Amino acid sequence: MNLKHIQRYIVLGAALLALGSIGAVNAASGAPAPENGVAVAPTVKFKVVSRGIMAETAAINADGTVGSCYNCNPATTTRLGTGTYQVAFKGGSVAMKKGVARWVQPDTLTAGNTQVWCDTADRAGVAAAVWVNCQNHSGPADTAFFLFVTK
Amino acid sequence: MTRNVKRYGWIFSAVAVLTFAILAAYHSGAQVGAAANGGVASPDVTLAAATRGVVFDTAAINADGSIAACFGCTGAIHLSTGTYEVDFGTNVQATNGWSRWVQPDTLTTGSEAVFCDTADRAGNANGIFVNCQNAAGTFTDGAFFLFVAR
Repeated sequence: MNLKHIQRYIVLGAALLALGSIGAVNAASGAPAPENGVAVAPTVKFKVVSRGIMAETAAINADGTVGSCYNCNPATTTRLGTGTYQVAFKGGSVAMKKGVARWVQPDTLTAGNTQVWCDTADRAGVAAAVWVNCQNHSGPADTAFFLFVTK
Repeated sequence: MTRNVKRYGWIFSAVAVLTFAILAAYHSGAQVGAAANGGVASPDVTLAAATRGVVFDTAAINADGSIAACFGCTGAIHLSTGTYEVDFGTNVQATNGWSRWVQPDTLTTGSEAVFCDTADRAGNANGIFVNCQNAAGTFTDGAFFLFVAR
């Protein structure tokens, strides 16, 4: 066994140890698998704050298609899974650190009714998109909604 | 055996009819809120105009459906437990570029544990349908602010 082999084993061992640690932490905390970058939102502080001026809007159907929008990007707007959506815009980053605020309103966009509530977040890995997740009393649930982005 | 079937057959029929009636009543009860606004299903739509998010009308509605204050509204109705219609003096349908924001708020101190959703009001283009429910999904009365933007 030469030096090269020893180095390979050390790297492989370290990688396995790291993976094992992550698994142990998740198992210990009972945290759900991160769907949008992190399992739990960290405490953050930003230098720029939203002044509440409406910049972009979107009306999204329950299947993730765009009902109508102002400055959104339909090509990269999509339903990610049951109750989770990526809504993309063309006006640059809509990440919180850019002084943006997001408002989501479950709405059928027509008559009928929906019984869900939704939350927003930065979309992990896509700065120009907002992540929306919706649920009802029994878990994730699809719904149509309005999304407003203010700066 | 055949005689027993003849004798007690009416019991099976009665049980079947009763079961059907109970299921029908349960089903109609579960659909009260939804049926009040044209059905549950929300079809995918393409709206004719996009909202720009400029607020035109506002309303502060009490849990009993009465108007606490409003700008541009013409009336409000408590349709049933947790469901409301708020009327404005113009067509506020989503397809015409209108959007709605509802925010449960006691309008005073105290607290209320509800979340609310919005929709066009079936049969009234000038109305907005608001339904509120608690964490268990049960329709629940609650006061709220409603903003109407275009």
